[in-house]
Amino acid sequence: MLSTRNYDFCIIGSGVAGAMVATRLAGTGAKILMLEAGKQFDRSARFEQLRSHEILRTPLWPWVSDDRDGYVDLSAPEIGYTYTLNDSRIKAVGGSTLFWGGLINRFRETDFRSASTYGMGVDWPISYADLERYYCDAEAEVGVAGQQNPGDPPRSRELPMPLWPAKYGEDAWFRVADKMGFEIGLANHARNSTPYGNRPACAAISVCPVCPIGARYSADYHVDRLVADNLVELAVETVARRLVTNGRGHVEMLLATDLDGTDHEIRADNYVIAAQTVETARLLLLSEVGNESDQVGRNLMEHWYTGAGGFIDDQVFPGRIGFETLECNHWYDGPDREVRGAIKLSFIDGRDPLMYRGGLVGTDLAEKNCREFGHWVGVAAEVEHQPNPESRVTLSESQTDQFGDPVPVIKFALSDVDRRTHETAQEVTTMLAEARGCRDVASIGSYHRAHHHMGTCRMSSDPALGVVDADCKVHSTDNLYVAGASVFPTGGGRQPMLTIAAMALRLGEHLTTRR
Amino acid sequence: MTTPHRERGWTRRTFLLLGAAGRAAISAAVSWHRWRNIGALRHEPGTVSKEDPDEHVLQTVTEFTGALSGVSLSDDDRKDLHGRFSYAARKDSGWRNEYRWLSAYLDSLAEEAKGTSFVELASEQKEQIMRLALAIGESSRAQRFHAFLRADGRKLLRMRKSTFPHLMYVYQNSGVPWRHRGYKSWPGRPGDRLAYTRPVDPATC
Repeated sequence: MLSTRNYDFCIIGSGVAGAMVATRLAGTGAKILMLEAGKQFDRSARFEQLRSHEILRTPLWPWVSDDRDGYVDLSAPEIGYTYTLNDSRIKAVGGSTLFWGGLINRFRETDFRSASTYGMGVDWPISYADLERYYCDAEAEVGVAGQQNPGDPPRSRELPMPLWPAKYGEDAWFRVADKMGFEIGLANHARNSTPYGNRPACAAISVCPVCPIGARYSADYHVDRLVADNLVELAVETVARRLVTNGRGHVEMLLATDLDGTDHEIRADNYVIAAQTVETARLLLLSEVGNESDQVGRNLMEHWYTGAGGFIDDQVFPGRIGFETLECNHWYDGPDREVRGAIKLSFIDGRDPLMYRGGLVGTDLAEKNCREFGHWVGVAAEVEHQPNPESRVTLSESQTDQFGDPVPVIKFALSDVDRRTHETAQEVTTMLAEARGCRDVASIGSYHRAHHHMGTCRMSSDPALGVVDADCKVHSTDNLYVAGASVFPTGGGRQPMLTIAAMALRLGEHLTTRR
Repeated sequence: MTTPHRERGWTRRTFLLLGAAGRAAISAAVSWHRWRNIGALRHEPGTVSKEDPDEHVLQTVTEFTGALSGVSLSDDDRKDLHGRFSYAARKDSGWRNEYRWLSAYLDSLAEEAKGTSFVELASEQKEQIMRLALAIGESSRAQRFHAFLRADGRKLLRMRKSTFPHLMYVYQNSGVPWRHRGYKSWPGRPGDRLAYTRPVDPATC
């Protein structure tokens, strides 16, 4: 069926990037095909999925398969452990928004010009001001609850939902901030504080990464609506395998195969790859498109977590919601930013003594539980990963997927700046935990991943330095675009979700001129 | 008269034979290690079953989990845990079998010590039996190896390595620990959206 129709737009991927591009194109009368390598999941099954995980330890997000979605990881020498990619991505309608924490932020103005401001990284070819109105639109589409915080960039529109107040006991952090001369804000959430977008308000089920009622945003809501309104044709379990060009930079066809083995030749006037960072780069590499300057796959970035915490006398009663409510941007910029990357702080609690039993059972365990539960707090730091050409996605020379195509090889590489940023974050979080009065302050570990994949198809005005131009068009082509965090030249230290959505809406608007 | 070739002793053939024997020994050791750690002592997933799990077995596993966690179970707690173990037994006959074996073992210990079934014991006695059951494999490597050589010893080691952590995992994710902390809602159960801004009252822990 797919081989017999011609489309105006073919969007590869149904996560938030693909959904936002399609949302902006919908209503123009364009014929849009959306391809999804994974399946469409039934939202009503989420409670059962949670129960199965809570009892049988089945995966919380059963949407990835090492057998089907193979990869090779070479990151261990850099980050100290094997990066299990399939824990960090979801192939399904809605993409990785099916499993995420729901904290959401705009990038700051300096994130778009870190080279000219701090002499590190690269500047984006667009500015914060260029993106501001798309940020507003993205906040309205996704549904963001929150407020303008200290250190937030200027905004032209209020957030659509009221904020989430601080947790009980967190006033202590405000006192620490006052004493030390910095400011703390209330985090913004893609989590309904009131009913919004045909989704209910949060019911405090506290299992946020898999919100069983849809109070936390996931992109499948947008895709479902577009499909129900006949604005988009959706093909699930259909894997994009090669883009075929005419040799003069025009993509003529996409070759795809569904999981039943049926091949499709898909013809469209324009193609948008929105297949998340790793698979977007992989498709370009497999197709040998857009890689004239050897930039495809390079500058793979993450956000790395560290932090510290300890025990307190007061009880904070954790576990009644599944998210953090405070954030701090004091160390995001600042005077020593010429030698380190951005650091965003959040304030954590809830270390469950039952998970740190130390071999105790019976009444000994019950006593430990009562003694320690609710008496541990800490500070987590999400730190910037500088763009690094050696941090990259390539194709495996020895391992293939079920279609015989090479699987991706990922390698997260760190620089001295990244290590310095991490060390600073550890020092700051330790200092704050001590200032809060914590006892037995200890690190929560190093280089935890945030599951935020960025880079690999850098946006640059110069074709020699990037893969796409400022309109997200692949430089060497005239009808191929990339949506998603792949195009980020730098990753900042804030959650990328809103910037992905804003950039995709901007791309969608640009594409309306292509009809 | 011997040939110079024979006088050398270490021939290429000897090297090859020694190499092959070494490889075989390493391979056997690795296999045994894997079998011991991954095969013999790990939970064997089973199949989905519509058959109701044995009531006495579920009660015993529920009471044992109460002893493991050190809390005195209320009726709500029992119902909660019972429902979860019943779910596990239906979804995975491997757990059904493990529960059955654990229940029989606990009953045999209770019978031997107090002349009754495990569920009939007072809480202090349940804790004593629980500690007795946990003691297997807790001591030296030699004792663990000794236990491993016996079929019932292997079963007990598997209980320790696989079943007990499973029971604690189910307990942790249930409402029981939260109820004992004074909470009225907990992860997985809807609650008051803004309760998190106030202290738990009355906090029991």
